[in-house]
Amino acid sequence: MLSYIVRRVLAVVPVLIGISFLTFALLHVIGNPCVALLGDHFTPDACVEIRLRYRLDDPLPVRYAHFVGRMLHGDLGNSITTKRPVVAELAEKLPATFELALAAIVLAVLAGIPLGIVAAARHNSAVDVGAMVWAMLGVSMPVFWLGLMLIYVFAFQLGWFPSLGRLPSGLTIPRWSGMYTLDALRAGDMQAFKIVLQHLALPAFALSTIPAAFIARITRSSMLEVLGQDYIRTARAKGVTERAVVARHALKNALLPLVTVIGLQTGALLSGAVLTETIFAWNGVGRWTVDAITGSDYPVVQAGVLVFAVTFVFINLIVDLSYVWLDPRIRYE
Amino acid sequence: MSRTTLRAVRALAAGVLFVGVAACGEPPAPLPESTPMTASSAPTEGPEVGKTPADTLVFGHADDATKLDPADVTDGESLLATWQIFEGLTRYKAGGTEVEPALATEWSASDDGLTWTFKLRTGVKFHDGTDFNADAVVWNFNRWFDPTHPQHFADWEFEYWKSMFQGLKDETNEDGTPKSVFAGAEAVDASTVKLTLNRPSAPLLQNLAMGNFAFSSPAAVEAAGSAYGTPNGSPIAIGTGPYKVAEWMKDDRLLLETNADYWGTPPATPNLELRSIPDNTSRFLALQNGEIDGMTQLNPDNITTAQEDTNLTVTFEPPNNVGYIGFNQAKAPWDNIDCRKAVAQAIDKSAIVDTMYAGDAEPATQMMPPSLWGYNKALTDHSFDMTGAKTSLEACLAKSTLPEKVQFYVMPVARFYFPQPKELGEYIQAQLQELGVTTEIQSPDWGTQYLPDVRDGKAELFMLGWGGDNGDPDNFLCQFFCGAESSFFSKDGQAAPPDEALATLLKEASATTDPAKRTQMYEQANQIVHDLVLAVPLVHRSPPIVFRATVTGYTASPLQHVLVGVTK
Repeated sequence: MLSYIVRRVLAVVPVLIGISFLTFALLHVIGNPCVALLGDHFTPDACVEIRLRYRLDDPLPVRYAHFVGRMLHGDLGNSITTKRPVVAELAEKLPATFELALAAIVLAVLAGIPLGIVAAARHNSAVDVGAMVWAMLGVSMPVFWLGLMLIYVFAFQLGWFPSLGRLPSGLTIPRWSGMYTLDALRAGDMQAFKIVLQHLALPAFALSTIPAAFIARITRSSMLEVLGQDYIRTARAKGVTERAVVARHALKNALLPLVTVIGLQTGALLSGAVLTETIFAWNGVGRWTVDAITGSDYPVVQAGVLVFAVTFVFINLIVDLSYVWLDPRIRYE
Repeated sequence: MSRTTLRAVRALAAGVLFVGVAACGEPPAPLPESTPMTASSAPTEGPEVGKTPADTLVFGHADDATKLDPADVTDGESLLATWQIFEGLTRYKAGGTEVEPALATEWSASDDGLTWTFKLRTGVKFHDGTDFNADAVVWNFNRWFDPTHPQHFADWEFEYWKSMFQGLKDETNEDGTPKSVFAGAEAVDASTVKLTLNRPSAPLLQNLAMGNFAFSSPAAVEAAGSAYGTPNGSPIAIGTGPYKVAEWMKDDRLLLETNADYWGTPPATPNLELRSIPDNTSRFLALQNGEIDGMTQLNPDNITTAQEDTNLTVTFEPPNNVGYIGFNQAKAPWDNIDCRKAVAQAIDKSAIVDTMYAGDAEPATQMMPPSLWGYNKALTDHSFDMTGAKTSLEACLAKSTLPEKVQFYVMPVARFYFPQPKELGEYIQAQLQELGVTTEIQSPDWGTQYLPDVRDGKAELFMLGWGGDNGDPDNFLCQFFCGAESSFFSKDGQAAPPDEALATLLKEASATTDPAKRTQMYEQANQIVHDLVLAVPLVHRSPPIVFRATVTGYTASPLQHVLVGVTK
C-alpha cells in the first residue's frame, strides 16, 4: 500500500507541471505579454522593463524555466492594478475562502447525508419526495438570489445575523492563520469567535445549498443500492433492527462514492465562491480572481488559476488515498 | 458503523447544534461599539448587532481603493479615500466647482500668465510629523513631472498629471516646443512657491484642486519606495488632511482616524471606515440594516425605496457629466447643419428623463453641466418638435443624401450617464424612424471596437458621455471641440475641430486668467455649440448618495466626496 501512496503522490508531479505550463501559456503564448501585463498602462518604456523582468526576449523554454523558478521561489509577479506582489494578496485572501468553503462543506455534509439516508430508508414515502424536492431546489436556486433572500430575511427582517463581511466595524482579531474562527479561538476570545460564526453563517449556508443537494441525492441513490443487496436482506432476516441495518451495515458501504463527491464539491467551493463572496462582501480569492479577469490583471488570474488547479489536484489525491483507509477490501498493486 | 464513527457523527452534530445556537438560539451576540481596531487578545465586549460604532462613520462603497497615492490613481473609489487624507494647494468649495485656498492661502499670477506665486499655509505638518513647506511642494511637483526623479517609479503612470499638465519633463512636440504646460517649481522661501508654465493655462487653479495633485510627505514616499500607497507600504500613505490611515485591510475596509494635528476644523466623527461592498443590493440592505451609515452607487431601482424609507436620507450630487449624441461632421450627411438639427429636434429629452431615470437626471441643453460656471443660463434648447424636425430634414435632404440605413452606435455597456443604453438607443431609433431616418443599431464590444470606432471617426452617429475632472468648462468643451478628440470631426484618421472659430475661442478661453472674461467666453461657446448643433446633449445625471437619517453634515458636491464634516 505504501508503494501505491508513493506512486499516487508522484503522479501528481506531471499534473502540476501541466498546470504550471498552462498558466504560463495563459500569459506568454496568447497575444503580446507586454500588452497583457500592462493593459491600459502600456508604454514602450514600461514594456522594455517588463521584457527584461519576465525575460520575454529569451526562447520560450527558457522563459518557462524562469517562470517555474520564480514560482517555486514564491514569486508570482505583481498585480497590474495594485502593483502589489500577487503572493501577498493571495495570502490575505486564501484563508477567507478556505474558511468559507470548509464551513459550507461541513454544513453540506451534515445536512446532505442525513437527508439522503432518511430518503433512502423511507423510499417512496412523503419524506423521500420532500427530501428530493428540497435537493432539487438546492441545486436550482441561484446563489445570488438565495444570498440576497437570506440577507433580507435573516439580517434585515429578523436581525439574527450581520448581512456582510467577516467582522463588524471596530473589531479586529490578532492574525495568525487568517481564518478568523481559528484566530479567535487561538486568542481565547470566545465572544469574538461567536461574532465570527455569526458572520460566517449566512454565506456558508448560501454556499452549502448546492453541495448539500448533491450529497443528499448521491447518499440516497448509494444507500438504495446497498439496501437492496443480499447481506442487508440477511441482516434483516436475522432480526437486526432497521435502525441498525441502516446505521451499521448499509451506511459505511454507501459512503464510499460520497467521498469522491464531497472531495469534488470541496474543490468546486474553493473555486466557485465568487457570487457568494460578492454578495456577502467576503474578501476571498474567488472575487479577487474574477475582478482580475474583468480587469485583465493577468498575474492575478495566473495565481487564481494556479491555486484552483492545485487545490483540485490535492483534493483528488486525498480522496484517492482515503479510499485505502475507508475500504480495506480495496487493494492496490 | 463502528463506535468511533458514531462518536464522530455525534460530535459533528453537536458542532452544528453549536452553530445553530450561536446563530439562532438567543439574541445575536453584541458587537463591539468602540473597540479599537488595533489587535488585541483581550476578550471582545460590546453592545448590539448590526450597529456601527458611535465614534466611527462607516461608509459603504463598491470597490476598495486601488492605491492610496493620489498621484497615481484615476478611479473614483481611490479618490474617495484620498480626499479625506490628502490636500493640495487649492480645493473645491463644498457643493460647487469654484476653487478656494487649501494649503496655499493666497496666490497671484504674472501678467503673461506664465508665473504663479503661492503663499503657503504655515505650521502645517504631515501625518508623519514632518513639516509641510515649500520644499515639500517642490519635491511633489518634481516627482510628478520629472520621469528621472527617484520616486517617479518606473511602472507608475501619473496619468492625471500627463493629462491635465499635458506631458512630462523633456517631452516635446514635433515642432520642438515642450509638451507640458508645466515648466518647473521653485521654493522662493519656506512658505512661498513659484510655479512656472510654458504657456498660459487658465484652468491651473482648477487642476491644482483635483484630488490627484494633493501632497504626500517626501520622507514617507522615500521610506516606502514603490510600495507607497499600497497596504505593504511602510508607511502606507501620509498627507496633511483631516484623517490619517489607521489600518487597511485591502478589499475589505480602510479605517481612518482623526489627524490630531490638523490645521483646520477637525473631523466631526473621530473615525471614518470605508467598507468595500461590491454588490449594490447587498450594500443597500446593509445600509437599511444599520450596518453601514452611508453609501454611494445606489441601484436606480432602489432610489424610490430609499426615499420612502424614513430611516434614510437620499441626496443627489450636482451633476458633473453629460450624456450626448455625437456626429462625425467630417462625413456627409452630418456635415450639414440641417441634418444635425433634424436629429436634435426629433428627440424628446424630457420623456427620456421621465421614463428611463429614477428622478436622478435632468435634460441637458449644453455639453457641460449646469453646476459649472460658464454654463449659459440664457440659452434656449432645441425643443422637441417633430414637425419642425421634419422641416429640417427636408432642408437636409435638399443638399445631402441619407444612407438607406444610418449606422447608429448604441453603447453596449451602461455608464453612469446612460444606465440603460440599449433601451435608450432603441427609443431614439424609434423617434428617428418617426422623423423618417432609418437607423441600424451597432453595439460592438466597448473596449476593442466601440470606443476606437467613435474616436477614429468610423462611427458617424453615436451615443457617448463624459464625466468632468476638474470643474473647469475647458475640461468639457475643449475636450469635445478643440480638435484633439477626433470623434466630432475625423477625416482619414486625422482629427480636427468641427468648427475652427469655436476652437479658437476655446483655446483663447483656456489661456485667459480673468475669471469673469472666461465665464463669458464659455457662455458664448455654449451658444455656438447649440446654434451649430455640433452635438445633441441629452442628459445630466445626478448620482445619489444615501445616509442613515441620523447622519448629518454632508454637502453634496459635483467633484468630491468629503466626509470630514459628517456626523451621526
